[in-house]
Amino acid sequence: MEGSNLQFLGQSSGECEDRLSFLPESILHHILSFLPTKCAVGTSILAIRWRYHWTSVPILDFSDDLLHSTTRSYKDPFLKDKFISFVYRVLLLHDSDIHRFCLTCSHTYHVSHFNAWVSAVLKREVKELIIKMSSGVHSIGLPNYLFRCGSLAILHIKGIEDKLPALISFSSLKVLHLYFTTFHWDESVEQVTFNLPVLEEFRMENSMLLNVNIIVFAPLLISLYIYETGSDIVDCYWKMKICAENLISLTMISRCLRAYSLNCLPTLVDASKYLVGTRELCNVKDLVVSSDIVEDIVSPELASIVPKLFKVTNLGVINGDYILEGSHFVNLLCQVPNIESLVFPDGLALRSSGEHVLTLTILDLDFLPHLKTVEVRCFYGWENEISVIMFLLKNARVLEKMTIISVSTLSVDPEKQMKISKRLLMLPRASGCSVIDFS
Amino acid sequence: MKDSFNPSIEPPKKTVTLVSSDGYDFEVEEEVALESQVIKDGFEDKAVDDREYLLFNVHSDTLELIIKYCEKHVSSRKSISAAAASSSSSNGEEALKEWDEHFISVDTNTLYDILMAADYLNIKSLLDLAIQKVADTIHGRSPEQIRKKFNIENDSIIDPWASE
Repeated sequence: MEGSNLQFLGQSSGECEDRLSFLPESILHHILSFLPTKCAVGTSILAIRWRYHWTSVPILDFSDDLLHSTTRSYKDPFLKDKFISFVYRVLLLHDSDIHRFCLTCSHTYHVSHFNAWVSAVLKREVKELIIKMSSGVHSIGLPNYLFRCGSLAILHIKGIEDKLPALISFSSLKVLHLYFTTFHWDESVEQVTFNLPVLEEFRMENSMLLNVNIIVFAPLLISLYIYETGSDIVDCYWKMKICAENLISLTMISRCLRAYSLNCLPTLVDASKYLVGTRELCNVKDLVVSSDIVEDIVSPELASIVPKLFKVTNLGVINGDYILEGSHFVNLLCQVPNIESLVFPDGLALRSSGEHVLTLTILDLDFLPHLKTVEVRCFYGWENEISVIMFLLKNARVLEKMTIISVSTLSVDPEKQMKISKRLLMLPRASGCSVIDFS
Repeated sequence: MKDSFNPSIEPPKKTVTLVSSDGYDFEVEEEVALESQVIKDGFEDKAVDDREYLLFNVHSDTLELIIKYCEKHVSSRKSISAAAASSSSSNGEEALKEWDEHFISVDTNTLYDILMAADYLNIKSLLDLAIQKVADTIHGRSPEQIRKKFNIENDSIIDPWASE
């Protein structure tokens, strides 16, 4: 290939110069990789030196919609055939590694085509595979060895129905997204194993795994997102056990009676958003929630269907991007009626919306009946913090100890600290034998 | 954040000198210069009093733009993370995106200069920004329009994809 890149470096250039064609090859390939393959291939007719640039672009991005928009007539009966031959021609002439292969189809094609295309890119050690059927769910005959592919790091699948092998093993996969996808297995397959040793993100939206016994091994999984609202999948039953010791973020939005069990509790931080029908999750004992998701847990439209988390005995509230609303905080406490300890490791950053926080009064016998210890770190001594402490003291009838640790700016000011300390000790308490430890 | 009470005196900002291809010196703060991966690699090995970089491929006009970009990104990154730490909401990232868009709306020649400099200095976010701009210009245009836009001379005789 022509490579006279150096000739223009450092030159001052006039107005009407073709600098684009003389950019270094790596940059030209970079530019073409930002374009859909249809446009990238289109540059081959600009000039002779442009003819083969696209063949080295590591990203292929096909969409049959794009063919539509540039073809003269929508009624062209050969449109689908043209798309098929375009994909074959590109795969034939393309001569470098394929980093990403993205295929978006609004039409269906014979399974043999899909099978051939996916097989061809798998042979070239593709790292990111994205296949989306934009209307409906279709069987496209994915090759079985896709599910043992060692090179894939990212796999997104949408609108696909397929029969899978009993063992699914991706040794390099980090991100797996399934949208509107149904996987099923031979009836003889009793147990399905997903072996995902380096998976970090797993997202499943309105997708079905039609086998009753699924085990997912994902020791490095950080984020799990399951969303099931489609009416057709509500009645399907499957049992899925997910072993993810390092899970940090979990979101489950589901109205289905499905048994998900998780071995992940030690590190879980952003716990379950909505816990509908996911009974096993209700076994969580130690729950640490970020203020970001509290609003979801307590949102009024879900309050009636979210089961209370009766098993939670230790609750921690950490600060996320959003500051917790006082009323949401109260609703959260109502969701965890059996807590014994409550910790605010990042401080009491509650939004003081007028009198809302100041008048947090419940004084109901069923409210916080077991709360024994409260710990607040990073205490600034602000009015709204004191009002939350006042609220807790007023309501926790069996409280034994309230520990408040000042933020360092407060602890260097003994006079102010003393003043606050006096105020705290004067607050009315529901529990007769509680101790306030302020430092 | 929590310990920000300590009014420790900040040390004077360390600077680095960048010299453009036409011989102008630009004194910039260390963290701004470190936006360039090329400068970052091997930065520690260089003696503190010898932190001068001769950028043979970057003209002073372009270097000025590049420094402006890096300064903006360093400062917004700081304000975004400060906003996140104090749990206050911010639209810092969106504002930065808008700023980027405005920044890269330049004539084609300047765009190439930025592109080449970002490649040479290995500033990934800026390179991607400039490349996206060129790609956007190509996208959706007919071959004839692309040739006209970029002054590409059509020297091909046959047109292998003409049937498409």
